[in-house]
Amino acid sequence: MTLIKISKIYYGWLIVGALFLSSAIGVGTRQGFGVFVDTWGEDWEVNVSTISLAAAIGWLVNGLAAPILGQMADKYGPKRVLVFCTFVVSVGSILVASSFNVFTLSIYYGFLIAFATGTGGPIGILLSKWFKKRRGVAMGAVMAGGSIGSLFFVPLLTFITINFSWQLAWIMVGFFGLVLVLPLSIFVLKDKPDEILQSVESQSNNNETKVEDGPLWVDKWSNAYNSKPMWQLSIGYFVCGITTASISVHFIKWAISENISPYEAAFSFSILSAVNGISVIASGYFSDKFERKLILGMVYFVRGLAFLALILLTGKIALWTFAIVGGMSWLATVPLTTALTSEFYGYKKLGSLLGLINMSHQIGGAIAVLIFGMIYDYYGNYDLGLWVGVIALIIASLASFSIKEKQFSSRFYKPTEN
Amino acid sequence: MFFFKSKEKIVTNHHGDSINPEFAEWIVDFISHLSQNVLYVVFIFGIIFFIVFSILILFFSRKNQKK
Repeated sequence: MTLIKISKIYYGWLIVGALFLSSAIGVGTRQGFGVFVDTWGEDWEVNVSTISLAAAIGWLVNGLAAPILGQMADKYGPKRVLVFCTFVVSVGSILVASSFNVFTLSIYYGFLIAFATGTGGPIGILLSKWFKKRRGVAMGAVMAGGSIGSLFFVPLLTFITINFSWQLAWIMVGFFGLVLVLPLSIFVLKDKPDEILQSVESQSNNNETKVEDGPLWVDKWSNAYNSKPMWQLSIGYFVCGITTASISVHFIKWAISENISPYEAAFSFSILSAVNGISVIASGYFSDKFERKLILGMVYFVRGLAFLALILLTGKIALWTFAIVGGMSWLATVPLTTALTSEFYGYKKLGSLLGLINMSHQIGGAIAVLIFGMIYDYYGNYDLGLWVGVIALIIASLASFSIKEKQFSSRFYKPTEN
Repeated sequence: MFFFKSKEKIVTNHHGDSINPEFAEWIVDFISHLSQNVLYVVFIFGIIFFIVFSILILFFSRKNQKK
C-alpha cells in the first residue's frame, strides 16, 4: 500500500532527490577543502598561502563559469550540462588524489572542479520547468542538500584523512560521484515534464492547466536589464555576496577580537550551517504560500539583525545570536532569487540570467573581503564594516520588498483574453 | 596590503566554500577525540543511507517512466 503511494509520487520530486544528493556530495566535499591544507603543506613543503592559490583560482573560475554554464544550459538543455559537470567533478576529484604539487592541484581543483560546480543556472532551469506551485520548496530542498552534505562529508573526509590518507578521501569523493550521482543525472534528470508525458500541474491537486507566461518574459538576456526587477534582484544578490563572503572570511578573526576561542567560533559556524539547512526549506515553503518578495525581503532583514547583533552585543552572546539568527537567512536567498528570476523572465535565457546574477554576488563578495580587511587594519575592529553590512542589508531588504511581484511574476499574471 | 595579509590565512568561495584553518583544526581535533567505533558506525550508516536513497530514486524513476 505504502509502496503504491510512493510510486505515485510526482516525478519532479525524484529530480529534487537526485539534485539533493548531488548537492550534498558536491558542496559537502568542497566545504572540506580546508581539512587537507595542513597535510598538503607538510607533504609538499609549502605554506598555506601557496595552497590558497588553488582555492583563489577556484573562486574566480567558479564565478566566471556560472554565466557560461547557464548559457550552455539555455542552448543544450540543463540535463546535458549537469551530466557533463557531474562527470567532470567526479573525475576531477579522482585526479586531485594524484596531485603532487600546488600547480597540479590548481588545475584539478581550481579549474576543473571549480568550473563544473558553477551549476546554479542549469539547476534553476530544471526546477523551474518541473515545479510551479512548489518551486520554492523544491529549490530550497536542493540547497539544503549542500548544508546537510557538509555536516556529513566534512567529518567523513577528515576521518579518512586522519586514519588512511588524503588521497583515499578524494578518490572516495570521485567514486561517490561516478557511482551514485552520475547514474542519477543520466537516468533520472529530464529537461521538461513532457519528456515522460507528465504535466507540470500534476503536482497540484486541482486541475489547473494554465500555461506559464509573464509580461517580462525575454528571448534575449540583455532585455531583462531594461526592467526594474532584474536590478532589484541583482542589488539584493550583490549585498548577499558582500555579507556572506565577509563573514566567511572574517568571522573567526572577529571572534578572536572578542576574546572568543577560534574553536568555539568554528563550532558556532557549523551550527549556523545546520540552522541554515532547515531555514532554507522553510523559506522556500513560505515563499510558495505568500509573495516570494516578502520572504526575500524578510531574509535580508533578518540577516541585517544578525549583523546588528555582532555590533550591539558582545562576546559569546553576540557569537551565538549571530549563529542562530544568521543561520536562518544564510542560503535562503538562493532559491528565492532563482524562483523569482524564472517567474519574471521565463526559461529561454534563464541560465544566462542566473549566471549573471550569480556574478554580481561574487563581485560583491570579492569587494567586501577586501574592504572589511582594510577597515580592520585601519580601525582595529570590524564595527564600521559591520555597519556597512547592516545598511547594505536594509537596502537589499527594501529593494526586495519594493519588487512589483503581482504585476510582473508569472505566478500572478493573467493574460487579457480577447 | 591587507589583501595579501588575509590571503595568507583564509581564502573563501561562494557561500563559505572556504579554506578556513581554524575550522579545519577544530574538525580534525573533534574527530580525533571521538571513539573510532562510533565514527565507523555513523559513517557506514550514512553511506548506506546515501546508497539506498539513490537506488530508491533510480527505482521509482524507472517505474514512473515505464507507465
